[in-house]
Amino acid sequence: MALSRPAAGRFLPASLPWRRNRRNWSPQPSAWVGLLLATPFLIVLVLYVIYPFVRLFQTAIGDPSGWQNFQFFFSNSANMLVVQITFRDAAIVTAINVIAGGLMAWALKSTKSRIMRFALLSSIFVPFWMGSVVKIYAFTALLGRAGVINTMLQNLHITREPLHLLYTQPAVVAGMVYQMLPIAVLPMYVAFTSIDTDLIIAAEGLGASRARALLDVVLPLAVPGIFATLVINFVLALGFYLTPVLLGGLTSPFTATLIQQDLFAYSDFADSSIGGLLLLAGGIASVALGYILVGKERLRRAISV
Amino acid sequence: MSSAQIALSTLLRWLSSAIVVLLIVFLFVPVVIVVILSFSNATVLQFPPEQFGVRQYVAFAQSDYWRSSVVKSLEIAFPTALVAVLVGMPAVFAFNRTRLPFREGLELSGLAPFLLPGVAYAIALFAMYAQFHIVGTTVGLILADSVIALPYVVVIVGAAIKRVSPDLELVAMSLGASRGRAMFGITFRLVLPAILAAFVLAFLAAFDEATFVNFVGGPDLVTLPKAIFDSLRLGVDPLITGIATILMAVTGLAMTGAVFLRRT
Repeated sequence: MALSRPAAGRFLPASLPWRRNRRNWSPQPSAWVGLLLATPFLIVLVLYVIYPFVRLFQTAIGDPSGWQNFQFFFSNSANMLVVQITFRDAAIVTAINVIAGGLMAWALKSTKSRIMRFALLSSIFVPFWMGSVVKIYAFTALLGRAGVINTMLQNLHITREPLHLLYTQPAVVAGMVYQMLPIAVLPMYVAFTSIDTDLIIAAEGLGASRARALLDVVLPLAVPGIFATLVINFVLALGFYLTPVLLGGLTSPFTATLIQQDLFAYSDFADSSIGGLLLLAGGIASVALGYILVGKERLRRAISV
Repeated sequence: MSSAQIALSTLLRWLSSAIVVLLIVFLFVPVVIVVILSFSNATVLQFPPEQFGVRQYVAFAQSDYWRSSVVKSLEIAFPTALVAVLVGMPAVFAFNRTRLPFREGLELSGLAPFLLPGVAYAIALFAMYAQFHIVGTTVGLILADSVIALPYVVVIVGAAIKRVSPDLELVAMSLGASRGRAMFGITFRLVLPAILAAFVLAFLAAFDEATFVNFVGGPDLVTLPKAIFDSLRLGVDPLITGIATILMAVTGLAMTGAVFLRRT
């Protein structure tokens, strides 16, 4: 007890009201201050993130026939095909992006050539400068009947008739890959940079080939980052609107086009809402899967670059 | 290693290099094509252009329709970025510098607008706007766009504030600053470049937004992306290449500026 604290009340009366809470003082502002600062954000969260989907659900089970709207939607085989194709093509786009993006990210990490590095970096960043609609415009100009590719093919006498390239599913896939490839490269690059390349040399020193070293040593270390990229790409691919509508044409088998047609051509609120809900369910399911498999920290990092 | 293995791994290396080069070309082709076409004088799409000139730029400058769409986009994008920063910035402070419960989960929920599939979100907002009869209002579009811009603020300002040590505020307070003054004079000032960067990126996101405007913008709100979208449904108007090239230059400058702001 030699160094006992001097009682606060000895020189200063402890009963003074503005002294009462001094011992509970914390350098961090209180929860109330936090709540005050976060209030606009919380309002936005409730009004603009939660409520719209409640309303979407209400619309889906509203006119014309309540819960049976779902039954009608699912009993229409054309709708089901469209939903299937949407998810399938989103998966194809994601697979292409992760493989192509992974190769680019690895090249960016391992290249020693400054020219290659510059080419890679600018090929990733320059497409960001082009607006989202302009990218689609460029693809229309490339793929159209009188577009760049068809003109070149005919000028070189490779084909006589213009090929039917635009308004096809591959056109939509190519457009989506183009828009998301840069987004896929960056998080994988960040994930790859944390891998020690000396491990490859060590593996090779122990007799592994380069391919084997990459597959057995590097790949397992890169898997969480790759998976986070995969999840985010898939969700984004599900949500594409402009690309399916413009590169796929008005009758293209994509949920986005279905929603657009139902809403603006047939004024069918319920059907388009159900289409939206299905996309939402797919999105939430894949984010949840990603959350379980790689954790929120990696997912956050994959978004935040 | 046997010579067959060496040959194989060399082959694989060459193959992956070749694919990477092709991917770089793939990423550059649309950009290059748009820029080249913008200097063609033809009134229809023509590649390679027979006559070079600035017709597309002149046509754009002379068209009231396109000019007013640019003005509309600016009218939307500025308030949008402002709202996103004014909503997001205090929230980031609350999540990182106060004892607010569930702050980590709330900060993650700020990324939700980015992780919700775009079309689903657009139709959900449309359902809400239809209920309140605010489809086609400028304010409605601004608010919808600011939600899309919000994740940029949460991510960029959040990353910046995590790099500022809370001890700096403690030092300021031990030197006699009030808590508010310490927060404002130290932390806020240190994350100010990131806030500016977030504003720029939120502005660009709003300027480029083309999905929401199709749903909640109604037929009369014609922003630049909406105008391009509408014209694309009719065919390929070479005038767009001129706008696109200007846009690319401006966006490139702004994004590079934002990158430098984030570094400081």
